[in-house]
Amino acid sequence: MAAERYQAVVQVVEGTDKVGVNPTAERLDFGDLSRDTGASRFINLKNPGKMPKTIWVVKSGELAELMKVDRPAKFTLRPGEEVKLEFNVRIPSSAQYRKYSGRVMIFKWPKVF
Amino acid sequence: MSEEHKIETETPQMEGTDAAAAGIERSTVTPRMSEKKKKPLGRRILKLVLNLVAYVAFVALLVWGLPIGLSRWLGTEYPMAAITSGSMWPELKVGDLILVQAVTPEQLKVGDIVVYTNERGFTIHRIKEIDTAKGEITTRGDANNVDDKPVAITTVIGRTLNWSSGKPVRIPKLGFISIVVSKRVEK
Repeated sequence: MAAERYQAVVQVVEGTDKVGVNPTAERLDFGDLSRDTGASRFINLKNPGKMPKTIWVVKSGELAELMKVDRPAKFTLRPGEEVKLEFNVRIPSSAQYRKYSGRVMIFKWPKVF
Repeated sequence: MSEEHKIETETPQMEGTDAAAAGIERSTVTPRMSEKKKKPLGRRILKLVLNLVAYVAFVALLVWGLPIGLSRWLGTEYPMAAITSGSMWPELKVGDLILVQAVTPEQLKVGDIVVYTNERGFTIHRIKEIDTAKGEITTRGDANNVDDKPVAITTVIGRTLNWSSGKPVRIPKLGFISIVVSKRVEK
């Protein structure tokens, strides 16, 4: 069973409507966000094999509570299919001005049944 | 004296004999134990069934009895509530199970987390304002940036049961059971 791991991080900053972008491929960095703003990051998933694959997205850590994925936690990727997973973070009004971090793990294994 | 001494020295020998006898007895007990293991199949099944009944009764008591007990203790018809949204984050998180206690309108104060009914069902938010003249309260979710519409104070079912620190009593993740069951029932 293969797994991809990403560190997810966001810095909550003072002010309104502030969105700072920190593009990086290694981690899900949502940059600097003020309260009541949000940002999305994407991960491309492709199944180049000939068998369908089960994909299981697991979020953990503090940021996991604020991060939403546009697909169910477990889904199937058909052979040749490519999907763009959207991870959206919205900073609530009750967030503190500090860094929130979490972890995303994407497990993949051949779907037998 | 010599006789007494003789008796004294003989006594341990007697004990030794008893111990030996006990040893024999132990050896005679062993077959009895093995006999016990060979209980009739009917008795073993009966024991298994009784254990199962006791277990089911215990779980039933927990599932049905606990809410009834809590209901009496907290004085409300709805003593427990599951958190289904993140509007009270980080105080209350999705999947938390909280305890709700009955409260009179006079006991309510700004800052209390209350449960009230509305057209969407139940809302669990914090009181921002109390208008005693109108008999209304205005609430807001900690994570929201706008207040809720004012509601009649009579719609309040109760207030969260809090620890002495003022933090609400919550059981993380246990509310997911209620959420999953509710979703299945809705389907």
